[in-house]
Amino acid sequence: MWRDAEQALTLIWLLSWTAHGVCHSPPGRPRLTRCRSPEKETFTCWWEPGSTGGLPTSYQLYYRKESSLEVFECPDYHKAGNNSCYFDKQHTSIWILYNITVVASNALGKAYSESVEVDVMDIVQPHPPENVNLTFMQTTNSPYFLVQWQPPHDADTRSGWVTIKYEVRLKIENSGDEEDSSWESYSAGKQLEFSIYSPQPGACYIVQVRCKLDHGLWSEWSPSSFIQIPDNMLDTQNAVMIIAITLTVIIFLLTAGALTVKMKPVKHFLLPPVPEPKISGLNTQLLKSGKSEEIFSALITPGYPQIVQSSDRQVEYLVVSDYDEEMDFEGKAHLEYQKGENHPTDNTQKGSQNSIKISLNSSQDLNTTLSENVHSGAVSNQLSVLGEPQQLLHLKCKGSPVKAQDRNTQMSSGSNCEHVSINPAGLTEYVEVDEDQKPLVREDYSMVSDVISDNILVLQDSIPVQGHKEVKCDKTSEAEETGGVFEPLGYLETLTTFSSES
Amino acid sequence: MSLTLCSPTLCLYFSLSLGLSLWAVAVLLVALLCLDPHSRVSSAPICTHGPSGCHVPSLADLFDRVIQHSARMHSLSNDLHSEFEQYFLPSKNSIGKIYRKCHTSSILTPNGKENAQKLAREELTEVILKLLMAWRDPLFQLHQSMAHQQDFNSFSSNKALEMGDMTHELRKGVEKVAEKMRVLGMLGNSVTGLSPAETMLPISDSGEAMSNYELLYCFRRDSNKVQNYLKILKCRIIPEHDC
Repeated sequence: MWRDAEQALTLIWLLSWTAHGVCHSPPGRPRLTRCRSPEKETFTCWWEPGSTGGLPTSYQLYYRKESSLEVFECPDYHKAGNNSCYFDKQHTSIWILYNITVVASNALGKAYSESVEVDVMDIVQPHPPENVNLTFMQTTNSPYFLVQWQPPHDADTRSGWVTIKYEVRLKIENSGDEEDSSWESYSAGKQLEFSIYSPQPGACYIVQVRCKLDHGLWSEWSPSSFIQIPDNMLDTQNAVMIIAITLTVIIFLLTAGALTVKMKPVKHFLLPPVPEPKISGLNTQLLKSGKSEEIFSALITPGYPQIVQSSDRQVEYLVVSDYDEEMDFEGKAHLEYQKGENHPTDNTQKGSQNSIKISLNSSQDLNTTLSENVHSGAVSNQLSVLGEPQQLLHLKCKGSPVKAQDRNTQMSSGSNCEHVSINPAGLTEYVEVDEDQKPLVREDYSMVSDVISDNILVLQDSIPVQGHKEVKCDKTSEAEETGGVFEPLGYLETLTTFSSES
Repeated sequence: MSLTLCSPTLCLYFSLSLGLSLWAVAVLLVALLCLDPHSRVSSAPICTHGPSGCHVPSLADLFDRVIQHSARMHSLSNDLHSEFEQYFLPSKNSIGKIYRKCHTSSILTPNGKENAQKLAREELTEVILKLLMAWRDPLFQLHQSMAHQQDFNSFSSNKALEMGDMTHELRKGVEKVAEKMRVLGMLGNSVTGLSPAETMLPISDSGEAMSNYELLYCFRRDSNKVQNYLKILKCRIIPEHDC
């Protein structure tokens, strides 16, 4: 029992011992962090201690020069602060490798750092330049401010041992701006002053300088210096000049504008007239006067079929073309019945209007031309030639019957109708044929059998059409015949061919 | 379509540009004809014994030229050395980086500012010349070995060649400076010149030839020495000029 108690007590004692964290051990390895030489004549090395192991630890620095085996200790531990070693001029040799080691030792043991080899020529980093001051110089034409500084006090440039180079950087201080402006750097060579030209008026500049010895490392930037540029640097003379020039330019522009408006030659000189598109034969003056018929008469040229399609006029055409060489009707007019708005029927809008347009290309008599061209006998349309409503002309059919074929209607003429050939030099033409005496489409659209385009309705009508019953066109009628026995007129179809009878 | 060739404004611009171009051509012709091209080409005659009318460089100019030369040489060696370190020895400052002696370590060189300033001018000049002479053959060997090895690109071996040429030129330049100084009475006659028997081969203690990296390291150090000594010499002899 006592044994157990003893063991327990020792355990507790050990645990308490460790719980306090007072664990003694040999020190951890220190580490040499950096060595620097500010003027190429002395240098300093710093190290970082490892763990102390809980005991007071002391550090020593030992070095060995390149060619000898003799080990020396650091000459000065205190000049450069804690954990540092300062080598003064007597102990510094350049172009020789130093092999440096730091030893940490406490009561329990020693720890050696890694050895570092150092050549003074590689670790040169000077102190920053001193006494940076800024002066603003206001000259009349080119204001600038001058940056002046002194070399670091320990750099010896006069003996030629080191060659020093400077760099200046500046930026505008933005108070309250989120976006900070970036530094502008300028190399200043060996000089001890630098001029910044054309600074921003009203701005506050921050200026810093740094230096470098030979091929070594750049020093830290000097502490910031500030300069405030005064606001109104504008010379009154410059202002007057600028105002005068601006006024002159404005006056010049005004006079040029006035002259342009008033005087035509100037206007033509500055703004030459742009040629406008013109349609030959179309006189725009006539349009203004409102006489549409004259315009259209001017538009008609011989041999030029005018196919005017306007959907808002609800004009539909039958194409009539003739391929018969016998009947050479070149130069003949095309017959078109146009019935447009001159026909106030109760036709629906959608295309029960037929019209045949007649275009006269010559001064032929309308009667004769019409008589030569035979159409469906029951043409009772009004002829509106070129927009002018005219009285209906009765066509006298003579000669061979004429067959006008279209898809859904059989159009034919009486047996005594003459062969109609319209030869528009190979062009087809829309011809409308209509019976205007019958209401073609009733209100209930019950007769509509087909809709071809947006203004063509095919009606199925039981009303016999005069003179159309008997004749059937042989050739193409079967192919083009629709279901109805006969279609009454009034549908606008496009006729593609017009075969001559016989 | 308009029947005219161009509108009035267009014609105006056209004629203006034509006139300007003609004028420019005319000015060019006049310049070419009137200015004597031969008068602008000036070749500097080579002065061997300083005849009159020849521009003789002053000692300051010579020093400047020589110092620039040495700066260029040192920067070349610096570049080559860091290239080597980057590609062949990635671990820097590691243990075991113990160099063999450079073959020029037998030449006593001042390794501090005061030591260099204590040396007499003649001795300093002699040290410089000795250093430059000692590197003539090793640099040639270095270029040869670099050119033969496949590891180096042609850029590096060209640098090595340039370095060798530059060392040769620099030595000639320093000899000229010494000659000038002797003429001006600044140097005593104690400068003996280099004895031809002093040929140094870059052989280390163990007898093996030094590697390329070691050669580069040693040359980098020696070129820095030469540059520094020349600057000290110049500021001692001509203190007012840029010191």
